[in-house]
Amino acid sequence: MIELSFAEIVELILKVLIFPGVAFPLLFAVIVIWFERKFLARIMLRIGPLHVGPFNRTGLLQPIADFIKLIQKEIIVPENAYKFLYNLAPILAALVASLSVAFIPYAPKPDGGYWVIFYTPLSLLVILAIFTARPFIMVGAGWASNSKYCTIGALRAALQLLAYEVPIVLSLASIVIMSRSFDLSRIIESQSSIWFIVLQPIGFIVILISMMAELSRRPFDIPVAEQELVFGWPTEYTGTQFALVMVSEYYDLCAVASLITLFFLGGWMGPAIPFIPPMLSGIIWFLLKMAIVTVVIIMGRGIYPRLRIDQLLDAGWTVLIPLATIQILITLVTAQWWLPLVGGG
Amino acid sequence: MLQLNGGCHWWEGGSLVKDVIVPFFLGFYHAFKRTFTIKHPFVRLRWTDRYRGRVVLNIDRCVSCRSCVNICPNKTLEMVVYKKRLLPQYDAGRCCFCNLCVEVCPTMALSMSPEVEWDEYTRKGMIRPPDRFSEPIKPVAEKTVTVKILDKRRGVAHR
Ligand code: SF4
Ligand code: SF4
Repeated sequence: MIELSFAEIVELILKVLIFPGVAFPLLFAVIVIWFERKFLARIMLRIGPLHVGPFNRTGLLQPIADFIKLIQKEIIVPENAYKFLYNLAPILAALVASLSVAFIPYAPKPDGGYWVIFYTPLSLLVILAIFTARPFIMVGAGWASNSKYCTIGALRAALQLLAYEVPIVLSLASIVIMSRSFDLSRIIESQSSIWFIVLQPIGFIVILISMMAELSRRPFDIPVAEQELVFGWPTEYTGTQFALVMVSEYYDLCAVASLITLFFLGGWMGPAIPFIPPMLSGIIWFLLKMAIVTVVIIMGRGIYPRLRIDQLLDAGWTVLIPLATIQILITLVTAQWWLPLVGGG
Repeated sequence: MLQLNGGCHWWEGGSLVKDVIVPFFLGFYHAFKRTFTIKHPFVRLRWTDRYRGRVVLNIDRCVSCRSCVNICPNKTLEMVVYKKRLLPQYDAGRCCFCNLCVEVCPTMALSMSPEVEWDEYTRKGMIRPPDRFSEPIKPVAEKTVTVKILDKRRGVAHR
């Protein structure tokens, strides 16, 4: 039985409910959906959402209006669907996607701990496990829908997993070699003098590309290819279930942006902001870097055309995996020179 | 090296710089450019001066000569009794904006207006009796823009 003091209980509730727990990914999703629509519109020289919400026709409340519209709609379950799994999958998707935030440290606390919901020294492995679970939900949902578009989308999701999972793990290996820890907060701490993006630029590019494939963002949105497969694996979902699927995608984006910030951009590291306590300034730096990573990931949707599934697999196995391996070799050779910089290990 | 998809790799037929990096920054640059579309209900396009929109009748000038009804190729106009006078009625759904009625009118009672937004919910609503035929055009939005050629590569843009 763990004894918690009153302050600890308040802190835990604050973490779980507000930051980085329930409220933060939701707010992130709402803001990013609005920003994505507006920003993509500007890239295409359009105006984007206009009518809903305050502030001089910015369409700020458009995602909330969409969400309310989706909630009002009827949930239609196809006749031939495997009902149990079909109804379970969107809930599972949102649940699993929001899980990973629980293990990501967002700032150091004054007493030496970290602002993280559940601290574990093996958080990197937990995150990898959570990320691997998502394609299984996609496959399950696609199979349970029992329609051809969903099935093809699900199979593509499974194939895509083969292309991005190995490069992600391989390039994370070089990060683990560098920081000598599976602990995410330790990985950030070891970047206090130099960020890993400087030491491992190849790894950064590999991770960025494979994480975009993991998220099924535009150049790699093969499982939901709109022009070929109506909407891919979530085709049959309507109303609230579709809203859950969408929200789970943006939860995932939140987690991935946090992770890239954490692995390569030094997490909360940054010059201290005057008149603001170090913990809060750490959170501000983290969110700022996350925003930049999010913009880069979103940009792909406005610019690049979609790859075919064989092209992605080809690129994954003939380019990304060799690059990640080269990064590991470089890291192994040069690690001894950098070790004083990254805290001695 | 293993070659899939008929010997054509995903990176072939293009270059990393030209197809991946340049579009990235070009897209970013576009995000801060003037948009091509306008905030339509609040900002409207200003049409050119002689744009042929809805035909407008000036009731005071009409002498009920029936010339416009005779010349109209689409049977758009029809004489009806309105306040004890014989005046033309306008079926907006039939008009082809040929300008013939305007030209033929001896007293210049008819004119082409630049108004384009006069949608109706019913087909019957498209038929404008003399009172609605003669109502002045709606004031345009708070702000109007004209079409202007800005960029040779991009074509027209609004200003
Ligand atoms: S513009 Fe032509 S079609 Fe329209 S009312 Fe006049 S004559 Fe008829
Ligand atoms: S031609 Fe002119 S004056 Fe004659 S009926 Fe038509 S609108 Fe009236």
